[in-house]
Amino acid sequence: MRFGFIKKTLFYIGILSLASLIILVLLLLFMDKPPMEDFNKCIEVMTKAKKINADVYAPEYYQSAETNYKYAFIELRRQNEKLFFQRNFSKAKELIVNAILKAELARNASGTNKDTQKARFLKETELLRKKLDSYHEFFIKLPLRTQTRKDYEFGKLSVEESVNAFEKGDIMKANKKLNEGKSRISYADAEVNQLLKEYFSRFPKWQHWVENTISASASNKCYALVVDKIKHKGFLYLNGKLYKEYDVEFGKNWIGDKLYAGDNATPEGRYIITRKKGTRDSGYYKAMMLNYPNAEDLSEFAARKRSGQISRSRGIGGLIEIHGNGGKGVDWTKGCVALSDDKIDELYSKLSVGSPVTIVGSTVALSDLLK
Amino acid sequence: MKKGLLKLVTLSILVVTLASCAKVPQADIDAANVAIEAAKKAGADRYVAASFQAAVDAQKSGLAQVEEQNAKFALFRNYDAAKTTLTSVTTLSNKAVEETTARKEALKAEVTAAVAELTTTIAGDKELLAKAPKGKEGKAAVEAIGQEIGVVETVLTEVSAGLTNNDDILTLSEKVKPAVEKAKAINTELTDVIAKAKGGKKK
Repeated sequence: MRFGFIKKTLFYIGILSLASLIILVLLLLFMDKPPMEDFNKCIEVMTKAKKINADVYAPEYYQSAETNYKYAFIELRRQNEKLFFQRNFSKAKELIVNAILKAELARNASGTNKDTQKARFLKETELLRKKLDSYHEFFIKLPLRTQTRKDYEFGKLSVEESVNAFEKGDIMKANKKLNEGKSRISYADAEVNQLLKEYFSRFPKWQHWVENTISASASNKCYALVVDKIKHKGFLYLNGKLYKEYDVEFGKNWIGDKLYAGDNATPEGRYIITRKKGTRDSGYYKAMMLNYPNAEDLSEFAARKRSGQISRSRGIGGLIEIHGNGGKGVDWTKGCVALSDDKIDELYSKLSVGSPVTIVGSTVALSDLLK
Repeated sequence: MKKGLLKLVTLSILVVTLASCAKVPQADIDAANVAIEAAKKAGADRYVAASFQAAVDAQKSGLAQVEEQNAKFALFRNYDAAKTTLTSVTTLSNKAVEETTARKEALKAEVTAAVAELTTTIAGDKELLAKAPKGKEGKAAVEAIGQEIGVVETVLTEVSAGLTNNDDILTLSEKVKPAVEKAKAINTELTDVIAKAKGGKKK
């Protein structure tokens, strides 16, 4: 009786266990599987993307991949907390596939974007450096405010800092520093542009003078000197063709035309050499006197006096020469054009009384100068 | 008696089943998180980005392995591989911290040397400035160069203060280098101006 009961009980337990096992096996066989292969693949692709700085060069795609991965993982955990037969990983699958896709896109875009950004950055910094280099001489000589000079110098340092950061791969910092530099330089730029813009309003006149001087050199088959104040150069022409160029120095207030005696400005106009002075006659090694003031200078001076621009007691000045003792690297004369002694020797031998000398603010337009 | 036996068998099966279920390695997960945070706090993500990333990747893999086991039927879970990966996170993070410290030290030495070089160069610049052509001939240029030296000196003061205050050494390193170059350029420029002025006087 007792043996029969045990046997019966064991039989039922066995049947029940078998049924449970079959149900369990069936559930395990057909239960939803987590997309672990996709998760591993995503980690792999994101690592590769990060290695080539996709987070920097393709930040939108990379961030999207990160976000999708994060939510896919949260969803995976959420499903794992449920009973195994209640789990549904479709949402996690969708998110992780999306994360892989974005990581792949970030990886692909990173290479292209890196090259583009690098090229753009290098081009931008190169242009800025060129501009700063070409400005250096102006900035040293232009009558600018102390703060303007400081802005310009701090701007230059920021550009160099930016290049350092870029070389280390810190693109965000590089761009930040570059913008900082550009911003400070732009303050200085604004002041310089204002100053030069006003000065260059006379450019059409200068252009006309230069053309006439070169034509005269060609038609008279003679030497003619064109002095460019902005470039601090003297261009010697022979038979209408550029023969040689020289470094020159002016009066310290070289920007602008000469207005009156003692203003330390170098006059602008078309002149001729009226007298040549050797070492015995000149206090500046050798000199060639110009016919300043010419008729146009006298007429402009009279007009300025009439308009009250210049006080009635002022004189127009004179004794403007091209002389030696130069090559100091600074503008130091009282209004003359100075060259180093070996160069004045050369020029002295080429030019003679009556040779045309044209002094202009610039031989090139402001737009070309600022390029 | 029979019922008691039945209960005992059922309970034994339940105890064995539960006992054989592997536990989530929460301590390892927590340790990995702490290690990653410590590495980040040390600045490993900026100073030794590749090493830091290796630790982060290992953490991601470890957590994925944990979830892979969580997805299995309780009886079949095995967290050994996940534990190994998570342990490696701590190792990698510690390594990243060590590398960060070494990198910071190296950078600090570089910046200190650059500060010394900058101090010497500025002193040289000032000496040359005193010798530069004065008076009406070079006053404006000398003033302008003096202002440039002033700007470089400001950078020197900022970087020196940064070193004392233990500011971000990477930023200080990027800041001091252009200033050294600038100070050297001023030196060359002044040497040139002085040479030109001397050359002019000879004739």
